[in-house]
Amino acid sequence: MTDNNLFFYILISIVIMLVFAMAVIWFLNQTQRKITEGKLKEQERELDFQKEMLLNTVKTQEGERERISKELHDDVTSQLSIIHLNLHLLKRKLDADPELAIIIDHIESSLKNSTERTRTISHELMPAILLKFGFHNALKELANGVNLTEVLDVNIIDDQKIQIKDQFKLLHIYRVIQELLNNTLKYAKAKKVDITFDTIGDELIMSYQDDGQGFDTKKLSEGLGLGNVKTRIRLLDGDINWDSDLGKGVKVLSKFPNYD
Amino acid sequence: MFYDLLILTSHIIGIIAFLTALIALYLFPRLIFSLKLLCIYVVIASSSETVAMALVDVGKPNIFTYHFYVFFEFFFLSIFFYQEFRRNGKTLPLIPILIGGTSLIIANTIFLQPLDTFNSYSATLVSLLMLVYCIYYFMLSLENSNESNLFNTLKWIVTSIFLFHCVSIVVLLFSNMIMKMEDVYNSAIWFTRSIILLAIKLIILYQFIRMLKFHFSNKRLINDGQ
Repeated sequence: MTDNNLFFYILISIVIMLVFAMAVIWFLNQTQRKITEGKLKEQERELDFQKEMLLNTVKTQEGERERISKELHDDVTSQLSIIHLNLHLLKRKLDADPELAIIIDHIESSLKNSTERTRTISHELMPAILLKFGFHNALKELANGVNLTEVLDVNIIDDQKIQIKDQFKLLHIYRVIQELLNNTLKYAKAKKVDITFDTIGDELIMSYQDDGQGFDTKKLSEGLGLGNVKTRIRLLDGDINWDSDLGKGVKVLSKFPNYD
Repeated sequence: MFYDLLILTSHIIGIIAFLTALIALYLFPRLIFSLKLLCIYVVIASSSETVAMALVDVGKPNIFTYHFYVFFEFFFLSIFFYQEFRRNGKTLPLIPILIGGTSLIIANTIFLQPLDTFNSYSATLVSLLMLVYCIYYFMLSLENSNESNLFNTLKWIVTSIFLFHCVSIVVLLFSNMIMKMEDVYNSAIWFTRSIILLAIKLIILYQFIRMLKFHFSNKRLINDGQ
């Protein structure tokens, strides 16, 4: 074999091996990409499934709350009202005895408190106003309810920017605000809360800010309340961030799509 | 002409190998064991290139350096792949491979192809073994693929080892015949191989620069994805 031929064969062999190597690498890359895509799809399916599960859990929870709320409102409060009426009649008949009148007054006062408390619990469990008069009025009533205590001054700004019509989604937002207010009332020692709604494109930005004692965000625990807030924001396809420091109040920013 | 080009490319390869070796030495204490082995391999490759080049420059034969290089390449890359397979949950009969391979390389140098000839048999066998290692590594990486920096760096380095040995195996198989060819053909073939080697050395250098960048930006490269 001449040098020329050998050179040619070696060169061809080098090219063939190079092409083979490239082909192997290309094939592996393609396969790896497909595997990665498959894994991503699987993860997406898993996330969708988890979201569906969460949604069903929350729906069941809301359904149960509604049922208990109705029971309390329609049954327990009615019965308490009947007892109140009967007590009133009894009081009239026993007016002559001052000792008994004091006891009955005491029972009447307790009964009145119990009826009021039952109504409040029933209302907190399922705000009928949200279903009957809409989100705006429900939020207003929630703020008024807190403001009446004179412990906290709640301001709601621009809530008419909300374009969401789905009652269930609105209920999520309502519950988030309710939970945040609960936390402020329980732990923050705040005087003022501002809840502001704004839009950027198709997204709704909800800002919740109190002037309380704040907390170290590194120590933020996923207690039931905050866990519920996160779950509901996740069900709204949104995300939420806490910003706080000791003595500097709390700022919660959440954003989610402003449509159904 | 090819001879001059070959000398030029070899010098460039030498410089790249030297730079890679410097980075490898700097990063050495911060790397996981398998990357440490790669560093040793890079330093040995660089030293071998430098010695070989220096010998050419002073007009002395340099083929014997390749005998040592092949042994070290076999030894360190075998342990490197053994470590990588182990990280992916697979094992390799390392001790029999090391003992068997070392014996064959030494026997080849003593009995078949002494230091003044190309150790084409042992080098081809080592190249073949490296190709098997690389393909097995690729198969394992398909099962355990992830997007970590470490995974990508290792994948690129193994890809370059694979490319290099795919081409090398042909040249090494015929190396003693090539040495007897006319100078122009001889140089042309070694030049072709050196161009591919240059590309591969550049890939490896780039990967070491990436590791250095990760080190300076305090990002996790070395042990993520494990």
